[in-house]
This record gives sequence, structure tokens and C-alpha cells, in this order.
Amino acid sequence: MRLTDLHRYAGLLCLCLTVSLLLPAPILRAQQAPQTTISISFKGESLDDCLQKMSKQTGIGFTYVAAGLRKIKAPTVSFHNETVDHILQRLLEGSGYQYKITGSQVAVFPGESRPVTFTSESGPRLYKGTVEDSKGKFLEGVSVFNTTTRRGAITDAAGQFSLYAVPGQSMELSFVGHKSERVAVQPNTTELRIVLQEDAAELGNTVIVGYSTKSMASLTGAVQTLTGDDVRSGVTSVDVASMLKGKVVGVYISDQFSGDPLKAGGQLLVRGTSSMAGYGYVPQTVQASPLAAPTPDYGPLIVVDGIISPYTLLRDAVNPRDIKTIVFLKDAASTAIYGSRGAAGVIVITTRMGTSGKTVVQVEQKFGANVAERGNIHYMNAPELSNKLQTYYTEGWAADSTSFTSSGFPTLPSLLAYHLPTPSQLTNTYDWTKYNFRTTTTQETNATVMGGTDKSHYYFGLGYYKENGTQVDNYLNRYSLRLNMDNNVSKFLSFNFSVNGIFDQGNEPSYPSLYSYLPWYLPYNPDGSLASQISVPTGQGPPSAAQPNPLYDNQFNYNKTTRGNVFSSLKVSLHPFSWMTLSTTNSATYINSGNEVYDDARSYVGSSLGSNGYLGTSSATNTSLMTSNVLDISKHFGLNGIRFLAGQEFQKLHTSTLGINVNTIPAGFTTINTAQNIGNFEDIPALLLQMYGIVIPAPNPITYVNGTKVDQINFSAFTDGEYDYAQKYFVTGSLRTDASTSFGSNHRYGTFYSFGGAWLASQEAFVQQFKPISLLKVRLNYGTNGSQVGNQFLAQTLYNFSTTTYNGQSYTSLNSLGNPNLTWEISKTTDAGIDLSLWKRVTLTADFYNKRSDKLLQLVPQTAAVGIADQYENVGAINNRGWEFNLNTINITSRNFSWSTNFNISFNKNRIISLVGDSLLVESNYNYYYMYPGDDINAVKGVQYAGVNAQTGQPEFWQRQINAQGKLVGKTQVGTIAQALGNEDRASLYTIGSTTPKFNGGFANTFVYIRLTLSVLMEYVYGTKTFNEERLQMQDGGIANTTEPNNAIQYTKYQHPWTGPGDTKANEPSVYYAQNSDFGGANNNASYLNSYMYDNNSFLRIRNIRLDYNIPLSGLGKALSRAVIYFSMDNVYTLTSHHFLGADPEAPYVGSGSLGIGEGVGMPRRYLGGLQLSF
Amino acid sequence: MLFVKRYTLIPGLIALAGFFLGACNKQIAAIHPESQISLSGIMGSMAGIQQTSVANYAQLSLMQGNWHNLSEFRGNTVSSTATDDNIGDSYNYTQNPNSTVNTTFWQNAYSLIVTVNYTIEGAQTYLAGPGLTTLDSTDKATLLHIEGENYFLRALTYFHLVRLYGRPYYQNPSTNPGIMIKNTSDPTYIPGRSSVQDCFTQIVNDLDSAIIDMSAIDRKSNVWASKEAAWALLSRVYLYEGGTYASPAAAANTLAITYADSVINSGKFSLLTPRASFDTLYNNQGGNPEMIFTTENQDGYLTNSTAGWYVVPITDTSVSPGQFTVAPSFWNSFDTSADYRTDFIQLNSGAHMVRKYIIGMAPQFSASTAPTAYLRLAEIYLNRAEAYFKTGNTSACLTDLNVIRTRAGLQPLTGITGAALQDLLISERRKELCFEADASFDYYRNGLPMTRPAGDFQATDFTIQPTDNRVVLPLPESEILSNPKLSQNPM
Repeated sequence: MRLTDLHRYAGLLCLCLTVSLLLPAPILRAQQAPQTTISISFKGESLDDCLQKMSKQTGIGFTYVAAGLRKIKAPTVSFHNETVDHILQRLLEGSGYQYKITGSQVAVFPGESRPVTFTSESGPRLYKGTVEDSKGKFLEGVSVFNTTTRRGAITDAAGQFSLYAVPGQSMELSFVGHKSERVAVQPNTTELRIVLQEDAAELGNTVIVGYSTKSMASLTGAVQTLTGDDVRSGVTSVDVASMLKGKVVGVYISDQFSGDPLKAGGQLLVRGTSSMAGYGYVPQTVQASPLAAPTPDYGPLIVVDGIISPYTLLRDAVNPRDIKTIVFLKDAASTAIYGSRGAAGVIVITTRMGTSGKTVVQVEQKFGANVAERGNIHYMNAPELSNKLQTYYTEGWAADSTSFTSSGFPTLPSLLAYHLPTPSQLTNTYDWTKYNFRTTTTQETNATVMGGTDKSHYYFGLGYYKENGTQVDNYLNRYSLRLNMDNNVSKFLSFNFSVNGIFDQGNEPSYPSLYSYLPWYLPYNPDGSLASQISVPTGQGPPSAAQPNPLYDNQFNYNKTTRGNVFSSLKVSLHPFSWMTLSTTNSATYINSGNEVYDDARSYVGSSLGSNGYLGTSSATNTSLMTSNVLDISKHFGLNGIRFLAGQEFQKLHTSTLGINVNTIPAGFTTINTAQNIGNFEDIPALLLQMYGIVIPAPNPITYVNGTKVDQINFSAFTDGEYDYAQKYFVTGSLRTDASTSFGSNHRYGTFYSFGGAWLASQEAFVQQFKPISLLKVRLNYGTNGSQVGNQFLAQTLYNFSTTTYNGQSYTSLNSLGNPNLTWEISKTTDAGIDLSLWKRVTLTADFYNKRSDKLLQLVPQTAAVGIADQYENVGAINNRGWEFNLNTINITSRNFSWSTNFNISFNKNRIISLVGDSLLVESNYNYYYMYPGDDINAVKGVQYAGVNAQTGQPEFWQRQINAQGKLVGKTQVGTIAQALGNEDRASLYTIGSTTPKFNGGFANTFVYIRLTLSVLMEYVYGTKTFNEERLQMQDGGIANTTEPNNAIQYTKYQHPWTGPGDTKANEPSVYYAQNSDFGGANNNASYLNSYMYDNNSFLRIRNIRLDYNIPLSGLGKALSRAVIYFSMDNVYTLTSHHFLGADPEAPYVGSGSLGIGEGVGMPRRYLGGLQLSF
Repeated sequence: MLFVKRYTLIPGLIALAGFFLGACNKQIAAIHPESQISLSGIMGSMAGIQQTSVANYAQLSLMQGNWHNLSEFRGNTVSSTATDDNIGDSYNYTQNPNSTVNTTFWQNAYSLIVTVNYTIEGAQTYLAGPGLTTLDSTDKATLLHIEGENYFLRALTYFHLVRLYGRPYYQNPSTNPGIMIKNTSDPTYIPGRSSVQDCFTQIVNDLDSAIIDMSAIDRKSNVWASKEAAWALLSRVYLYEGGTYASPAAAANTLAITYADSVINSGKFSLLTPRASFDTLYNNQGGNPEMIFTTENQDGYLTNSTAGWYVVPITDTSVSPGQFTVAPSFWNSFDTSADYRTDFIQLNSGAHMVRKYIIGMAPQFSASTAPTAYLRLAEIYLNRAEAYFKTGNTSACLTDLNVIRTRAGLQPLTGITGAALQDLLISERRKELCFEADASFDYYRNGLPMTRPAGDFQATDFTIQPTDNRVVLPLPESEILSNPKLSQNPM
């Protein structure tokens, strides 16, 4: 950060502080509303006017329906230094109205007012109670109200409250999203346990949608809220994205690397792919050589406690422990306030905070085992592999003996003797799968302390998480802490302060696929010592060079990653009037991530390439400074409610990277200073001289020492308005302008807007006639969002500094031509939704959306006269259309048992509308194909596999005949992919499927029986097809690879390789032809087009089962307020299609260049036990 | 009172927001890439302009492999069995508008022209603007020299292009289409094809400007453009304008002689002798007194990719023939025992291998550090000899030819005139400039057919008449599609 920036931020803060000091005197009189003393006199005005007068003088907010109060005249009376409480009592005496004070809000409502009297003989006693929901979870912030004394209390994080009452009096408990309860206080107990049932109609609930808190009733858009407990119930992970799977509607989360705790977690795709960034090339008909795609920049915007965060991954943004709620904003009405940043959806996270009253301490300890889940992947043992080799060479001899005789094998036995393992190799084996995949542990310890006084509240969370991956040498340690504090200096001024720190350390395996080592590769010498390398006998068995011994090398080598990120923010809020809030939020984020790859000089990789010890280091530092300043006005005029918000944001991001590679390091030393040379093997001129006798002057220094810096500024101004009439009709609108440094000054600003309406039909008398309908709300909205690709400065003509010289002189060459006409990508979304609640037990939210994304940026090849190969242009368009349903039901609710269910399902249909040229060339896994308007942007295409020739065992494929109109007019079965392609015309390739689902969703059930809670979470994905590299390389190809031989995966029971002429049951070619044909042999990489290699990875998974037992505490002492013991199991069962081969059907990331499903290490099965204690 | 104070806060806040907004806008405008420099930034100083100019040489250097493929392989000095559409198209005269070599060369050439235009415009703007007050006379001359160098680079590139895509000058130059003339950096200016004549006029104009701009300062070395290089190129350009042997154009040939004289008489260049030093012609690039203009291929990575067409390095000391070898008929035309020029040819694995560009090759690279001879003194003698012949001065012609012959270790000839002298001119030029990207042009510009006898690895004789459509390359298909103003050459 530059000094000038410091000044700017400091200046802003000072200005805000100055403003607060200029405020009038009452701000310093900090008192709780009921105790505030004022002097006021009334001269017979209406009660409505009286209350407004009081409000103006005290800043206390009154909520009431004005119509009635307007008609009632107040007595003529004067008060001198009386409390508000007292004044209200006097004013409302006999009016038929009563009041209720919560915080600084006073609610006035019709009811019978009763005098407060305590009889001395029965006197008030202090009652203590605990409030839980139907799932046995403590409810924090429940308002408990003695209906007689009108005294109240709020429950703390342990769900506890204490309140004076006299037996016979009633306590009323109310909490948003739950049905209110009235409990009569009994004389024989002072300990209460109260369960509040969820109210399906969450109308009274409020939701924090970033800049403001809104009531659910007033929302005109599609918003889904999950509580922290909703998030935490389910699988164990440090990655919130992983925990959200199956719980959020309209979001597709692909989590291919869930088996590796260190790898970046789930990728969230909200309502389909709406950008072409990262997709394909402009095809060769337009340009001789394919062009790179723009940098992908997906993922929803992550907002933490109202602050736009610089994080792109949820795992970095928040530790699961600290979450209070997560809100998903999906449509334009909800996201347009985030303008350019909201096109891919917005996730709003609110973290936990203590409440006034008792300090609550919670401790949770979780421990369990991770068992590697390999699905139907079974590598062969030595005899099995030997048999397969024998089949392969025997079939091969029968099919084409001349190719073997010509390479020096006169007879089949001589061929087999050469390629098959020897008897000693067959018996002397090692189980590499067992070495690589192990049962490991996960441990999580969390402690939280929260509480507060009248004026300030705090939350402090601290935790340690350690997960050892099921693959050897793979682990993650996370240390995390969070501190949230607020302080109400006065009713006019408050502060919020937060610090969040997440520190991850971990290691990636140095040999990620050693499980495919041959079973007769032995890591130990005959004497039992570790072999320094695996020597493969020559002459016998498959010939190959010596291989590294991972067991030996792993003693020294590592691939470590560290990530540290600290986020801090300070919010200052001013409330000059009860209806106005001015706030400034200033935050700073610092993220540092580093990676170190070390190959010790003693190890095979560290010594074999001549580098004699190698250390590669890289680090990246990101800083973000942000200020967000918002004015919020909310006021009711009779039945009319108005809310208005205006704000401005400024964010400055800075990223820098540094990479240094060194070599020739003494064994065991891992610092740069111990190295003698810079660079890796290819960077060492001396080595090249030694090996080739030539001098290459000054190799490109970029390869061994490099550093970059990127600055970015985001500036936005926004406004948001809302109007409601009688809490029945709602209209909202928003407008946001964003400035981006990607575009030229002409198009720097993008303006986005939305408008929407909602009708709360269930408030209408004619709907209320239908008793079952407890809620009916209809929503409709339309709006725009923008986005920009990851690349910056697109409008500028830029020169690059060369890393080489010409005749000793450095130079700068033209890199990009600015396009001043470039502008924002725009998505226009229409959303129509309905919220319906029946019998207060069934709640359905349904949404339909149509999102058209226009002016999508594509890197377009330019005609030569322009002077540069390619340039960004706003050319593409994509349409996403879909349905979302979220159904919550309370199936059974009785005194001791309840059963509730959530079912959600999301459908999305993606279609390319237009492209530059006529098509987009997608290149992935050696396959390439064209996509046209009308195709799904995530479509995969290839050649359709037609089955096995029953007589020869050879594979067959469909050659498709396409007429001039592009219609399929016939199919012919042919023997090779080249024939099926027909002159390599890839324009008419068969669409195998799409890498994104037709629909996906989740199904959760919760059963509560007294103190036991059982929850079962399922998720499902339907209609995805993904390339399976493992099937191609480890099963239908690779066995004949004699230079880098690998083990093979056993056929599943659904795979039937051809066994002999007339085998009509076979669905795969013979072992020989599977390898020696386009089918799986990767001939000219044609196999990558084979549709058989694309697996249907639809699945239904029981993601988690968890059983909680709430331990009765009688006799356990006063200190403990609650204890829960639980047992949890992750990844219980996965149902996949027959044609799926893999450890885990979880799909890869969306976009080109994604790896196939077989590549990932599957999500482990976890068995965890835990204990939660609250004090 | 209270209310007044509170409400006055609001306009204050609005004013504050406005102030802040303005500040933000300034910050956004100020943000810039940290690893790149903007056009105005680089052109804002003399050093920056010079850096962009150096980049243009580097770009020229990177283009030479494709340039060599498209020019030399369309002649009859090489034999090849290559059929690969990227490598064999030019040799086989396959008129492939989708050829990668063809397409890449066209695109790289115009990238170079546009970056040259940026440099020229940058220099002009600087000279007319900040340079007026900040530059002393030496700096001004230096900057003008940079501008001149870029005029030279543009002329050379236009000349490359018009020879590949425009029909020989003697065939209706005012109506035959040449190439796009683009003398501006403006990306929105997309020209069509100018006539061959207009292209040659443009080249001459650029070279004239180059000579004026570079007149005040002496040349640096042969890897930088100079007024001598411009003279040398002009002698060749006028030779191309000078008509065929059957119908020569006197005026152009006279100019060719004039500019050849300027080069030869400048005293800056000399032919390498004796035989041992002759071998360094494609080795010692900077200090080579025969080379008038070449590109530096030594700094950074090896950039002479021409080498890879001819040889495949096996180890640091041994190489094997590449896809293109010496045509047997061409090899047989040498007096192999005496002609020093055969030193560049080596019998290897049963084929005659071109060793001109072998310097600095390494097993993992298909490129070398050898210089590319764009212009060297021997050619200037040959240019002048041909121009003398076409203007009727046969004795002067023979004198110049003998300079080249004696340097190659051959006996000087006397008393040769007429058709015999014409044949000698053609033969000496072919031998002296072999594998230097001239082979095909020297036939067609003179209205002669290019013939390959059947023995050059082809089953039958192969002849291309100078009027054949195939004398010129098709324009890249992608360019025809992306620029509607371009017309395709008949194929």
C-alpha cells in the first residue's frame, strides 16, 4: 500500500469521526430505551402524535399500526424526568393498547392492559430456562416476555434465559421463524425447558442481504437462507462449499478434490454458466492456430458481514464454526445491488455475535477416522495382471503375429516369456494401493466465547483442524480465529470490529499416482532395507528404466503449501434519527500463500536429473483495502413503508507473486541460501554445456526467478429502494454503477439495475378464507448484472518488456492493442417465484428464471492488417433457463417425536445464442470439437461407440451422415474413429452429453425422539457426462506401454471384454483390440473421442448420517448448561450408473481443461464422534 | 435547533461523497499495469522509442524460418520428400491457402509493419513535441536514425510480401494486385491490395526516407539498418523493376547500378577472403565485413529457425540431413573440387546437406545462432553485373562476375558475351546466393521458367512458367475471410 492510500483511508475515517462529534448532545446520553428519562408534555394530541413526539425526542423506534392510535386522544399531562416506561404506561392506560419493549424498539399493539402487581407472600422468583428448536438446537436471541410484568429477557448462545416471575404468570416466547409459545409458570420448579416449533412461514424473519437487513416478507427476489447450524450439520470439512452441497437450490457445486483436504474445494455455479471466459477457442477456419481462451473468472461474490470480500473460495473466507447465517442471492432483484460483481450470484455470510447477558463458552471436540473410498477402482494383483498380459499377448499373437515376429519374438511362448512376470515376481509383490491409500484421522477442536453487556457484545472463536488425507503424505492443518465486537457508544453511535485469521498448512503427495505402480515393483531390498530406487530387471518381464521409490524419496521430499489470511474490519454507524443509519465500513485483507517443492539430493528425482537437490519456491500476496459507506433510511407513514439506501464503495486490490527455483543443495537442507545454483535443470547453462558442449547465453530468467504485481481498483455507487403498502404489496428497485480498470474511459462505468414486485396474497381477506394457506406470496423481478473477464486493461495498447535482448539491447514489444469500444458483459435475468405455506407445515418455494447473458467477451482473432493476432470483443451470448424448487415439510410433530424433511431440486438448461464466427473450438483431453449456437456451453462431443464386432472382437463406431441442413440422415457402423469422423470433419460430432447436470439437488430428513436427533442428508446429480482418463489409461489402454508400464484396473461386473468369436454378450473389445485400436489405445489420440470413455457420472449419495444425543445434565453440576454427544458418518453410500468407473463420481470443475473424474482421489468415508459442551 | 443541525449534515455528506467520487475516478485513471507499459509511456522517451525499434528487429529475426521456406524452397536448389502441409507446400507448389507457414508469415509481416508504424509515429511525435526542446542535435540525429531504420524495416517487409504475393514486376505492374500498404498504426484502417507498381513505389519511397533519416550518423553494425543497407536494398528493388533479359528497362537498371556503386564505393564492406575466413560468413556475424544487413540470432534463445529445415542435430558434433537437402542437379553444377562455396555443403547419410546455418545448433533445438544474410556485398556485385548486362555494358558485367568467381577460388573468365554471359550471370547468382531465400524469384522476375530435372527426387521434370498462377502464393484463407477487401490470387 502506498503512503498516499494510507492518508486517504485515514482521512476518511477521521471525517466520519468528526461527523459523529458534530452530532447534537443526545447522542452522548446512552441509556436503554425503557430507562431513558425525558421531560415531555402532551396537550390532548392523538396517541399516534404522542408516540411520534416521543420518538423524535428519544430516538426510540415505535412500531404499531397507526390507524387505531390516531383515533384515541391522549390525556393532557406533563412529565418531568420520567422514564419512557412510565410515560408509556400512563399514556396507554385504558386505551386498550399495550406495549412491549425490545432493545431500543417499542411495539404498541392492541390488548388488555393489566396492572403490575406482585403479591408479597408469593413474591417473584427467578426462573431459569433453556430454549431449543425441534431439532434440539439451542436458540439464541429468543425473546422471553412475562406477560404480566411486561419484563423480558433474551436467550444467550446456550439458549438460556433468566426472568423473574410469579407462579401463575405466563411467559411468552417469540423468535423469528418459529411459532410463539406461551408457558404458564409452575410453582414447583424454577428450571424450564421449552421447545419452539419452526414456523414454516418465515415471514417475520429478517435476512441480511448485504447492505441491509430486510424482512423476508418484503423480498421480491429469490433468496435462500441457511443458518450456521444448517451449514455445520452434515459432512466435516474446512470448506464451507463442501458443506453446502445438497442444501442450496439453484447452485451446482462440483467438488472433485474433496478427497484432498489441501486442494481448493468446491466450485459453485449459480444458475448455470453465463460467461465464455475459459471456454474454447475461435476455430481454425478463422485462424490458423487456435487461440487461447480468456481467463476464467467464475464464482459467486462472497460478502462477509456486509463487506465484499476479495476471496474467491468460501474456504478462505470463513471458518465454518463462525457462521451465523449464509444467504444465497440468485436473481437480479437480489444481486443487482452488487452490479458487476453479482452476475454469478452472491453469497452473504453473517458471523456469530454474543448477546447481552451471561457469557457463554462452548467447546467442541471431534475426532474420527477417514477411510479411503475407492469406489469400483480395484487395481490388479500380480496374478491378475499377469493373466491380463497373457490374454493381451495371446490375442495379439492370434490377430497379428507378424508384428511380433518382426520385433524378434519367433514364437508365442518367447513373447510371453519376455513380457510376463517371472514366477518370483509373481510371488514377490507389494501392494501399492495399500501403501498409497490409508485410513487416517480427522480432528477438530473449536472453542467459542461470547457474551456482552447492555452496550457491547463480543464473539471469540478459536479452532484447530487437522485432516490427514487418505492418500499418503497428504494433510492439512488449519488454525483459525475470529473476534467480533460491537459497541453501542450511544444510541446514535455504534462500532463493529472484526478480525478473522485462517492459517492453513499442508502437504501434497509427491507421487500422486503411485497406486498404478506394478505389483512386482519392490520398494524394499531383499535385506529389508528401503531401496533407493526401484530397479526393474532387464531381459525378464516388461523392460523399463529404473523407477523412483516413493517410499524412499518420501523420507526427504515434500510439496508443502501454506496459506495465511487475515481479514479485519471496522464499522462505524451513526443513527442521527431512528429512521436513518449512516455507516462506514473499512476493511483490510491480507492473504499470503506459498508453495515449496523440495527434491532432496539423496532422492531419485532430486538426483537423477542432474540438479543434485532442487528447491522450488513460490509465493503470492494479496492485499485488499476497502471502504463502503452507506446511508439507510427506513420509515413508515401509516400503511406506507419506505426504505431507501444509497452507498458508495471503493476497493483497492494488490497482488504480487514471487518464484525462485534453486538447485545443487546439500542433502537435508531446504533453504535457498544453501543452494549453489539458481534454476531448475533446464535453467542451468553449465549443465547444458556439460551435456551438449554448447553455450546457451542467458536463458530466459523468467523460468527460475519471477515476480509479478497487479493492481486493481473497483469503484461503485449504488442505491436501493423499497416501498410497501400495508405489508401486502412490495415494490423494490436498485441501481448500481461500477467502474472497472479493464475498460477504456468511454466504457469504464457500467450501470446495472433491477426492479421487482411481490404480492403477499395471504394477507388478503379472500385468501385467508382458505384455512390451509398460511402463506402465499408471488414474486416477479427483472434486472441486469455485469461481469468482466479476469484480464485487466483490455482497452489499452500495451508493450511487454522482453526477457531476451537483441544484439545486447533490451526491447519492448507490442503485446496488446487496446479496444476502446470494449464494454461490460451483461446478464439480463427475469425471475418469477412463489412462496407457499400450507397448514404451517409444508413450505414450497418455486422459482423460474430466464437469464440471457449478452456482450460476452471473447478473444477474437484479428485480420492481419490490424497488427495483432487477437483482441477481446463483446460478441457472445448465452442463455440459461431453469426451475428451482425447495420444499420443507414437517411430516410428524408430536410431544416426543418429530420428523421434518427438506427436498430441493434445480433444473438448468444452457444454450449458446451467438458466437464470433460460426463456432467455438473446444480442446480438451486431446479431443477437440466445435460448438455452435444452440449447444450447451458445457457440451462434450465425440464419436459414438457402437459396440464390439462379435466375430473379431474389434471395436466399432457410428459414422453419422449429416445432410446439408445439418440433420442426421443415417448411421453406418465402421471400424475406426478416423472412419467415423469422415475426413476429420469434426463439425458433425455426436454430442455425448454435458459436464453440467440436467438437474441436481438434495434431500434431507431429520428425526427427533426426545433427546435423540437423527439426520440424514442426501444429494443427487443427474445428467452429467465426463471424460474418464483412468478408464482410458489404466484399463483399456496402457498395458502394452513398455517404457512406462502401469498396473491395470479390474473390469467391473458390467464390463464384458470380448472372449472369442461369436461372443455377443461382450460390450468391450478384446483385451488386445481395446489397447491396439482407437478404442483405448490412444492411437493418434483418437481414443479421446470415443464416447465410451465418457462416463455418466450422475449419482445419488447419502452424504451424511448423524446421530446426536443431548445428555441430561441433572447432577452434572451447575457449570455445564448443555452437553451433546454425537456420531457422524460422511459419504455413507453412493449410487452411480453401471457405466461409471471411478473412486468418486464427483464432477470436475466446469470449463475447458478440466480433468476427468477418474483422476481425483475420492471423498473418504469418515466415521466421527464428537462432544459439544456449553458452559 | 437540533433538527437544523441534523439536517444540515445531509448536504455535507453529499458534498463529501462527491469529493470522494472525484478522488476515486482519479485513482482509477491512474492505475496501470505493473509488468507492461502503455503506448504513451513507451513513446514518451527517446529510450522507450528505441526499445520499440529494437523489438522490430527481434520480430524480423523470428520470421526468417517461414520466409526462407516460402522463398528458397520454391526454387530449384533443394530437394525434399516433405509432404507435410506445413513444410512441403511451398516446395511442392501446393497452392494451400490454409498453410500454416504461409498464414503465419503474412500475419507476422503485418504485425511487424504495424509495430514499425508505431515506432515511426512515436519518433515523429516525439521529434515534433517534447523533442523540440529536450533533444540536442546528436539526440535528434539518433532519433531520426531510429525512424530511418524503421522505414528500412518496413520497406524490406513490403518487399518480402510483394515478391511472394504479387506477380513479377514485368507483368503489368500497374494492374496486377500486390499487397496491402498499411502506413499507419490505426487498427481500424484495413486496406485492400495495392497494385504491384504502387507497392514498389512505396518501397522506394520508404527507402528514400530511410536514407535521408540515416544520413547523419554512421552505421552501427550489420545487425542494424543503415543507409548503406537501404542503398543495397534499392539496388535489388530496381533490379526487380528492371525487366527481363528479353526486355530490360534501362532506367531502373541504371538506378540499380547507381545504388550498387554507392554500396561498393562506400568502403565499408569487403568480400571475405581467403577460403578459411570465407567459412566464417555464417558464423561471425557482427564483425563480418561482407554482411551489409543481417539479423542478430545470438542473443537470448537461438532464433535462426532456417537451420532446422536443413539439418537435424544428433549430438553437439554430429548432425543429419533435415527435410531439405541440396538438389542433385544443383550440386552437379558446381566445380566441386575448386569452388569454395561447396564448403557449405556436406555429404551426410547419402545426401548433400546444407551447412550454412549450422552454427550453435543443439540437440534439443531445431534453430541456430547463424546470421540470416538479407543483404551482403557479393549480391551487390551480382546486382550490378546484371544491371550492367541489361544496360548493354557486358565488359563491366563480366568484371563484376569475375570478382565473385575469383573470391570463390575459380578462374576469371574473359571474352564472354551475349547468351553465354547471361547464363553465367544466372548460374553465378544461383551458386553465390544459394539457400539465401532468392532461388525462385531470380527466374520469374526475369521471365524465365523454374525447372527441376527428374533426378532431383522427382519422377518427372518439374517446370513452372513465369506466367503460371503458381508463381505467386495464395493469400491465406483466414485473411480473405477476415478482410473482405482482399482479393485472392488465382490458384
